Parts: sequence; structure tokens; C-alpha cells
Amino acid sequence: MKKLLFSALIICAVGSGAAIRAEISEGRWEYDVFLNGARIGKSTVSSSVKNGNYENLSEMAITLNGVTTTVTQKIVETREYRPVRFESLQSVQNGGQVTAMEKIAEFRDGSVILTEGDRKTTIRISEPFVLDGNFFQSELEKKGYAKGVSVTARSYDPTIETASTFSLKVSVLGMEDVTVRGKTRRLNHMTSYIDSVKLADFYTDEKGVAEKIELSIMGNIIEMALK
Amino acid sequence: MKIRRRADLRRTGIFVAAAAVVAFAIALPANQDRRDPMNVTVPLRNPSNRIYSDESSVYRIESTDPGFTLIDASSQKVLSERTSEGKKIVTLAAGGGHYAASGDPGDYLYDSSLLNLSSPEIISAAAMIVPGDDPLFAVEKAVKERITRPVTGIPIVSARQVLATGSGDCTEHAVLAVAFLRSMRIPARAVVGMVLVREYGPGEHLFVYHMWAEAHYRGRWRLVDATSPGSARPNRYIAITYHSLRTLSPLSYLKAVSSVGDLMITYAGR
Repeated sequence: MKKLLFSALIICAVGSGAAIRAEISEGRWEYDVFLNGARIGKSTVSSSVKNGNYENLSEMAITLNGVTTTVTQKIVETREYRPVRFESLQSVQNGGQVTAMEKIAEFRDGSVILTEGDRKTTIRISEPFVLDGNFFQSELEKKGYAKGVSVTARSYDPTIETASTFSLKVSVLGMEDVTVRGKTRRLNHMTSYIDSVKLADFYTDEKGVAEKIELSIMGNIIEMALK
Repeated sequence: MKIRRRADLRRTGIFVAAAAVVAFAIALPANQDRRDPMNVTVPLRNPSNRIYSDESSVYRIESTDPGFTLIDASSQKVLSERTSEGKKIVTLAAGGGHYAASGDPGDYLYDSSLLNLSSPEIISAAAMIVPGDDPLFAVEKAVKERITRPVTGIPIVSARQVLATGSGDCTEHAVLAVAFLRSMRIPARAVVGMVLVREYGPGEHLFVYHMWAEAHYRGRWRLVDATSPGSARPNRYIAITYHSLRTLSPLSYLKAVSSVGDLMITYAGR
């Protein structure tokens, strides 16, 4: 049943382009992270194919007031974007002290097996969902990142909600003049929304490379600029 | 497989993580006199010294984000909300008996990976608290005594980790306070918002991002701020949203803090 519903979701999202599968790129991208213009860390995002599945690895290290927080997230999904595994590790280095919190979700037959430290729970989620892996990129690529295009899907991330999904949407707003590292560039503007609330703005160049990513949190601007 | 460089839209999650780290790291340190460049403040317009002695205050909060909203909380009530020229304007009464918080107390006793209620460390530490006539004050004091090293820049970490390190800012005080209160079977929850500080570094009358707790005791929700045991003035607090402490970035929290926008806060009388 879940597979059927999942297929329906993909078909709805893709529309007539469902038969065409976009090529998912492999690679590694490095970003500097800024808070209100001051560099506070770095982030690396990589994508690869391992054991026949897509594997996306995101790492971010931020230092604020001498405290370094490192967040690592790994997403594994099938070539058809079915969830396989989600891993998240947050470690905090505060002087000589290091603390870590790990969360692992494994997806089997409509269930999420969630491990948080020494707690293990099994959660049934009735609706189909994708992980925030390659699905959105694939759909947007099929549509040529054209102005006005939007892709929406239910998504699951146990660092946000453990027992439910949420709506994730990416919209293409079109070409704009944008300042990146002090230089004005003509870039394609895309925006992501979580349950209808704007989360982040992406600005990509003519090759489709995300040059700048920006989000506002409590009135503060977090910016990631491609190295 | 051919290696290409394409738009990297894959990982919204890492941006959520960045948002969570920064949002908690910019929060108020336990020692309010400390000057800290990472603490982001909002100056109060039309300030008055009487706010610091009054029981009740009214604020007008304007946000550049039309999605901005505030909650009714243990000691605040939203009086009105309107949108004008793309800005959201909320008028709020704080303190003075505006006990508008809702929520079934029974829903706020659950354990989570951030609260560690079943861990021997939390059970043992909570058991050492002598409730006396005012268990909420007893918890505030106990948390303050446990966190001996004020440090800003820490994202949200678990109650057990707070106990182990003995360091943190308001976030760590709030997490440990909720853990202790729930261990004592007192319903409790974490609140994310701002607090008005008379002097902060070189500035005066500034709202600073903050996190505290609410506990349901003797028939209603009450403000619990372990960074200043026994001395919290509810009319100086503005609650933005609750944090479930089930995950690092619960959806309701994420949506609320993403919609804060640039704020302008004006004192509008008692």
C-alpha cells in the first residue's frame, strides 16, 4: 500500500515527465558560513552512489564564542528516491568538553526505526514521503529550473519531527542580480518552504551551481557562499 | 558516473541544523551583565524606567515578516494582530495577571532524548531538590547551582549533557529546568522568546533572545527562569513560541523563528 501511495506521490509531483529520469550528479561542494556578514564556519555537501543507492553527506562546523558545533547528516535513498536511512550527529566542543547526540532512522516496510542514543522506537507513518535527498533536484532538473516551477512533497526528518512528516516545497523565482562575496552576479533565485513558511533562498549560476544560500532566523541572516 | 556540478538543493536539513545552532547560540547568557558580541538584541523604542517596577506592560511589536505571530503564554496575552503595508503588527500585554497560556498539563510530562528523564543522573539530581513551599523556585535555584560555568554559543544539548558539563546559557538552564520539573511530576515546557534587559553591554533597554520554562503549578502555567532564580518579572518577557524538546528543531518552533523577521518593539504603556 505504501509503495502504491508513494508512487502516486511521485507521479503527482512529476506529472507528464514521470517517465523521464533526471541524471543525479555526484560531487562535493564547499561553502563558507556567515552570520550577519561575519564568517562563523564552513559546510561541505557531497553526493555519491554507493551500493546502488544515492548517498548524500552534509557536514557543517560553526564556531560561536569559542564553542564549535559540528553537525553531520547522511541520507541514503534508493535510485527511485525511497528512504533507506537517515543519520544525524551533532557534536559540541566546549573547551575541553565534547558532547554528542546521534539520531539514526532506518526505513523498513512503512515503519521508521528510530535510534536516539540508547532509546529505540518504531514509528508507523501512514503517508508516503521522501527524504530531503535528491528528489527535489531531480524534479527541478527535469523542468529545467524554469521560472515559476515548484516542486512539493511530504518529507521526513527526525531532527524536526520524529513521528510525522511535513510539506517541503522548492520554487524557482527567476534570474536576479545578487551580491556574493562582494561581487554582483546574475543568478537564478529559488526558495524553499517548510509547511508554507519560507526557509531558505538559493541562488544558482548558469551551470546550476548554488553560489549562495541564505536564510533568516530570528531576524539574523545566515549565509552560505560557495568557495 | 560522470561528475558534474549542479544546483545543490539536496540538503535543506543542513540549513535547518544551521538555523538551530545559531538560534540557540545567540540566546542570552546566564550572566546578563556580560557583554557578548554574539548576542543579538532589539532596542526598545519609547522606553520607560517604570517598566522595571511595574507589574504589567503593553508592547507593540512590528515585524517585516507578515507571517510573524506570538503565542498566549503563562504571563502574556496577544491583544491584537494586524497587517499593514506588508508588516505584521502585534499588540501584547505582558505580566499583570495575563495568564493566557493554554495546554493540558498532562501533555507536558513526557520524556525525550533531550530530557533524559529515565537516566540515573537526572533522577538523582532531581531527587536532591527540596521542594519546600515553592518547588518552582527550588528548581530554579537547583539549576543555577548545577550550571556553574556560563558559556554562550552552545546549541541545544540534552539535560544529561548539561549536568555533565555544568556549562551553558539560557537554553541549558531551560532544558535542565524542564527535566527537573517533569522528574518531580510538575508539568513543564520550554519557551523561546525575548527578555527586556535594562543595561546590556553598552546598550540600555534592550530585548535579548532568551529561553525559559513554564510550569503548571497550583492551577495555572507559571514562568520559571533558572538564569535568575526568584527574580523574573513577567512583564519583561515576550514569548515567541514553545519548543517541544522532542527534537532539535520541532516544526512549530522552526516555523515561528523563521517568521520573526526584523523586529521593532515599542513600549505602549501599562
